[in-house]
Amino acid sequence: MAFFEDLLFLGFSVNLILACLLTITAYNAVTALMALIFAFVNATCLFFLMELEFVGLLFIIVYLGAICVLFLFSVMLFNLKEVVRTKTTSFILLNFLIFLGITFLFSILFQFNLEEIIDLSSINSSKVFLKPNLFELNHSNMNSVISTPNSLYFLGQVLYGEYLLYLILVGVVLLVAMLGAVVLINNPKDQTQMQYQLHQISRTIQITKGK
Amino acid sequence: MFILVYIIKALLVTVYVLLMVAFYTILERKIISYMQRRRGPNLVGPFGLLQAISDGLKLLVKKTIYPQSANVLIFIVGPTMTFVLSYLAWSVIPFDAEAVFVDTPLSLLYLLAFSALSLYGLVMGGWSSNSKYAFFGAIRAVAQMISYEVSLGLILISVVCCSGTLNLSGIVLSQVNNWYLLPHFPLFFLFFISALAETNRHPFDFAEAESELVSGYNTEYSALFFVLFFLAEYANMILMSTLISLLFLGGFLGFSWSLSLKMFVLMNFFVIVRAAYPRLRYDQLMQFCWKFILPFTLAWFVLTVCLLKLLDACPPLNGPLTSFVAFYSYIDKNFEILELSTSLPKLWLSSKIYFS
Repeated sequence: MAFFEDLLFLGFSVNLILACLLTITAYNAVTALMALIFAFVNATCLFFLMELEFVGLLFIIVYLGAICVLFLFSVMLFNLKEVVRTKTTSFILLNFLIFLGITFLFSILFQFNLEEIIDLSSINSSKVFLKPNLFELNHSNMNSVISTPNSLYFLGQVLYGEYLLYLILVGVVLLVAMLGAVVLINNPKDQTQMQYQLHQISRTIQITKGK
Repeated sequence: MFILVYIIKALLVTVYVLLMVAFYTILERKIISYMQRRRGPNLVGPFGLLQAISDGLKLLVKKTIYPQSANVLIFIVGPTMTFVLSYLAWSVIPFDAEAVFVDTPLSLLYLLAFSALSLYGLVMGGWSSNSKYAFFGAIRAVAQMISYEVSLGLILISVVCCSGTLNLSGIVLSQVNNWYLLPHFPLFFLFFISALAETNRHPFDFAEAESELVSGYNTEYSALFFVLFFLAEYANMILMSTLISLLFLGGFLGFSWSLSLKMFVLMNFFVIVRAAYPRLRYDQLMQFCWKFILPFTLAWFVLTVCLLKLLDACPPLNGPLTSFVAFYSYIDKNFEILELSTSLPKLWLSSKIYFS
């Protein structure tokens, strides 16, 4: 069974890398987005393999259910021919090279034990969480560390216990961002057609003399 | 052997849902025809009961037409994805105390994830047809489904707060003494309305408004792929009525076919609403979601949480399910430790201890 899991892990990660590659090199923006969606699905499958069900489901609900759909919306409403014209072969080659570089960098980084580089004891404030060395991203290790108790309960403990104030701050920052977007697009001079039911109902009937 | 049993179970669930869909279409046509004082389908089989099968056969035998300028791969993937996802969602539905295909602690989140993914089938179908009608239908459907998913999620949170678990069987078992219909009465209605919008049904069927968009996102589809969209839509409606009966009407609690009865009543409501109400306008739909349902459910959620805290009625963490009981003892020794067992009848008894 362990062999089977390793095989699945290999398959999903290869799929993930290929999908990411397609995302940045595709000529057609919609194809790129489809690849991005595929990449997210594969990432979710990787989370499931690590038995982090909750995080994986959040990935699907938040990224695929909201963010990618909005991307897809905006891309589909574009005039695609103009977008395609700006994507030249050299541009895509550059993308590909940057991708290779970043992948190489990360593969080197994860070879070392990051705990030795970053001193974890200084940021080890949480008593329940972060006890295990999270930076050692060996997938069998992650498996044994986080899946034993319920990951949902852990997340709740950390978010609403230790980091409650930060959570509220993040919420305020998001609210400010949302208000900013509303202010940017809201033009009071814009004559939009609105229906006021009360106005319609309370209107007095004017009977015109006919014929 | 294990895989064989699994396949048979999966087939049982799928065939069950497919049969329900087939007879649901006849039910819908019959009810609408009686409401409009005509007879409806009555020629194929006794009382027209085999009409759906003959329709299905006709559609399957016909030739599939691909539009000349369509993106054929996405054109095929779209309806297939919608179909598969709408039937996958049935895997986490508990039909009885032990009759669940996949019993996970997060089954409600699974349902939300499936409904989030099934959007892409519509978008793919609408975009790849390369037709303005299909495209606008898809865009409308997705905008509507995204908006109503928010309110749907907020309604679910209130229910989950009362039951303390995301597992559907757990939510049902926590209603042993009291259906959530009584404490959450307004939420029941709002959930039903959101379900209508979520499944793109009348009076919110802007995705396929015939007077404006011909047939919406499935304008260019014919034969097999149209059938896939059709089956997915009806399966989603039945899924929604099942979900409502699980969340608010006590699900499978009671006599043996009580879940079927509740589902049947709610499915009838889906049809009656279609026959009785005209289509709204698009901005009315959006206003109703963002300016009424969303603030109301948010306020209701705050009220629920405050009441639970004030009356000291918070449910035990993770509800009546014992799969995490070992974890309680790990975090806090004061929790009551139940023996780890997966058989649900025992849990039923334990949930009575919690909720009596």
